[in-house]
Amino acid sequence: MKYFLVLVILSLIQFGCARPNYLDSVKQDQQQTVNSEVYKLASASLGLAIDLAFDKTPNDSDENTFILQFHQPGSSVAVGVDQTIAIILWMPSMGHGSSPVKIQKIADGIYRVTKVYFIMPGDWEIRLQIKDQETSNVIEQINQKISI
Amino acid sequence: MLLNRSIKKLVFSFFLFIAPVTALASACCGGGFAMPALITGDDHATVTTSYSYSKVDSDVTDAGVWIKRNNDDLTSKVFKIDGAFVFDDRYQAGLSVPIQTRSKQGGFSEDSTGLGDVSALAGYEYLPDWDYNPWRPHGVGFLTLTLPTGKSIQETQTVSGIDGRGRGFWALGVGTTLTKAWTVWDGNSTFEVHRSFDKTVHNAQIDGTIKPGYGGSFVMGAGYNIKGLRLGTTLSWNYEDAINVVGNNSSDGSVERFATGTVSASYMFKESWAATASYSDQTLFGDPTRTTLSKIVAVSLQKRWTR
Repeated sequence: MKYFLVLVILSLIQFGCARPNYLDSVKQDQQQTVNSEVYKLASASLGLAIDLAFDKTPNDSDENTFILQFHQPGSSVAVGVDQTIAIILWMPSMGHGSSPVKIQKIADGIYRVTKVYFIMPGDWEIRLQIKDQETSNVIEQINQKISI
Repeated sequence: MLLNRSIKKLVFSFFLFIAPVTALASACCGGGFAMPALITGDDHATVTTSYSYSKVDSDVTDAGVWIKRNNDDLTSKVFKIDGAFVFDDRYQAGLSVPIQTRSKQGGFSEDSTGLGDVSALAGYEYLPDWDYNPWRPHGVGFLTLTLPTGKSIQETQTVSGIDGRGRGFWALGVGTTLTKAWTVWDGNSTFEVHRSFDKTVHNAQIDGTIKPGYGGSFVMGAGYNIKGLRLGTTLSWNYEDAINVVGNNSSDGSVERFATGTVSASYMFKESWAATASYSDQTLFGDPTRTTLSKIVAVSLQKRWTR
């Protein structure tokens, strides 16, 4: 009986062994390179292009900061918007977000977003909401995926 | 015959350690589904105090990609008291109260200490082993109730979410534990399913309803007994439905899956006292997805009152 028991346990362990698919360092570096570039977004409701540029490669260890700049497609000149801007950090697979970010208007059409905390590694979404200034209703939400 | 009965009694008593120790293994973010200790031996009551230290080793995305944590940035210490007592011969009740400290290191270091999810259990010995049948296992069925006393990750108020010390949902579960001893060998298996209930949340993260769904676990274990020492191993597989969020920030979520391997050593140093040390690892087994994998060391001390 004991040999049978040992055999069953060893079989279970063998077939149950994990096969980790680690994100290797090369891929991680490539990913970080991509992340450190400017994300190009577009707002259909405003008819504007939006650049989202991190100050440094975003990570889950420190506070992250990025700049949002609204501009006409094909132009780099910032364009002011009348609507209110909101940013939500969201982890769709987990169903949770992070603490609220701080949005500071630097100039017309340019915003600095600070207190950006990705609280764990994985796939996140930066959800940019464009809200009606009077009613605060969300006019448009633009989701930018980002891997941390 | 008398010696054989004594050995079996001794072996059965060690099953008591299995439930609280394996329940320590937890996934994202404050803890997984846990259940109180169960009396599967000839005891009237037990009280188990345990202490565990866990460190997050890797995160696994819903696409199955493992991301190794480069530093010891997320650790957890859990002090837990488990109590169980038999009433009316074959019925039993149990309670588990965990106190958890979570620490996040790095650019935004934070700590949080407080109550985790408290759970209660009611059990019935539906398959007694009065005649020490050589094949028929000893079976205890149980119902569990989990209280959302630990904050969920959706309700945290810290920057790093470190104060999320539980799943944070009301949950009802049903399951069974089967145990069997053959002289110095023993085997055990536990199967459990639970339903976590919806929760409405209004905070900076979510203004809506969180829908956690069903979950379950399957545990298999075996042990070898040398006088007062038991060397044991268990493998547990855990599953949780996707957490669906409906509200201002909606998402469908992804299912969570992980397996935990545990080795343990228990020693009965008096007739009514016993201690256990264990090591659990969530990176070795199964096909994990959308979870956080930890390595856990735990010690526990148990006082038993025999019938």
